[in-house]
Amino acid sequence: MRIKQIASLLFSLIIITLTLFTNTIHAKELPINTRLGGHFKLPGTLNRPVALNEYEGKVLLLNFGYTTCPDICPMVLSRLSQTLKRLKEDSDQVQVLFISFDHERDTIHKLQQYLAHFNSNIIGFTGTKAELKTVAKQYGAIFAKQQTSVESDVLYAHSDYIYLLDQKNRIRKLYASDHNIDEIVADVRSLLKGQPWWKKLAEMALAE
Amino acid sequence: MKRLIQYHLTLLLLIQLHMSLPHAMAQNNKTQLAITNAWIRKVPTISTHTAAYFQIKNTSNKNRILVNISSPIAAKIEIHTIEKKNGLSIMQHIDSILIPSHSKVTFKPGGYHIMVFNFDQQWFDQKTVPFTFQFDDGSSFVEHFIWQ
Repeated sequence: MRIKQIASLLFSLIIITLTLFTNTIHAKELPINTRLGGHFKLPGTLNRPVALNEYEGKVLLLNFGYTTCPDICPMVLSRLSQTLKRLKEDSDQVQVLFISFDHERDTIHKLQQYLAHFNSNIIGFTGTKAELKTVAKQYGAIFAKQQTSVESDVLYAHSDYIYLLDQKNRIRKLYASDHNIDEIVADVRSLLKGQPWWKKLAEMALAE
Repeated sequence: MKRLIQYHLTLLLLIQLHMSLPHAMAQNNKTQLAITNAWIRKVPTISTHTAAYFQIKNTSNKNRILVNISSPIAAKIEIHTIEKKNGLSIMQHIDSILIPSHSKVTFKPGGYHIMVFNFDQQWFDQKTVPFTFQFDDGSSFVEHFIWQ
């Protein structure tokens, strides 16, 4: 009986110590953004509706844009492609997602051709105006048509953040379109390393 | 006789100087405005628009104003900049850009760029694309941009 009590006390002490240690190092980890993000399911370049949670278990890099974009979007996609190259074999555990908000001009076929130029593994999405508006709102993405005399020359003013999502589809960081690639690679690697065993144990014990 | 030869020689010298002046001035324009890192983005073949970038350095004592850029690759070419406002990247058409004396201006992704609308994709087959730079003083020169 006494041994059981001592064992229980020891276990509790270990859990408390680990929890305190966990909280101390938590500050160094990428915080979870609880304000933005969320699930979506949109027509994708896999020729079927694709849901975000199909990529649970992978680290995601997400960006909003449009294929007629001459400057920012090709730059972001080139940089994301470079990021994947820099990650080498780790890139298998990373997925780049590109959501086009130009529902009038960007078809799935067009997106497939466009994205293949940067990296054949990038998944593209589009949708109806309402669907895209909902997803953009979830992620705080903004886009607005800029006035032009010629319809084919329509350009969008838009936010150009790159969103880093963890293996549970939670936003962990937002980057500016020209953010340092070294830092993105390091952040992706930190998420891929995952939690140490003792932290998982501590979280499980606390959950119980 | 000696005077006559001197007169003709001076006349010849003046004519030669006059003929070589426009060429010398054009050279001067070009040498005092050095373009480096000139490239045009090799966008996917389904793209209708692209952008081109470069760095321009003005080594003269005069401020220069770039008023127009044109190229046979597209009928509509504009100088644009990206303005960041409330989290939005807004593309702005600008009429001209000042290249201050002894300074340089960089056109780069996410900033100043040459906006090329509905370009002729046959240019993909060429190694370089010529762009003509025109300035407010009427001078101009051509620079070749590489696909990248």
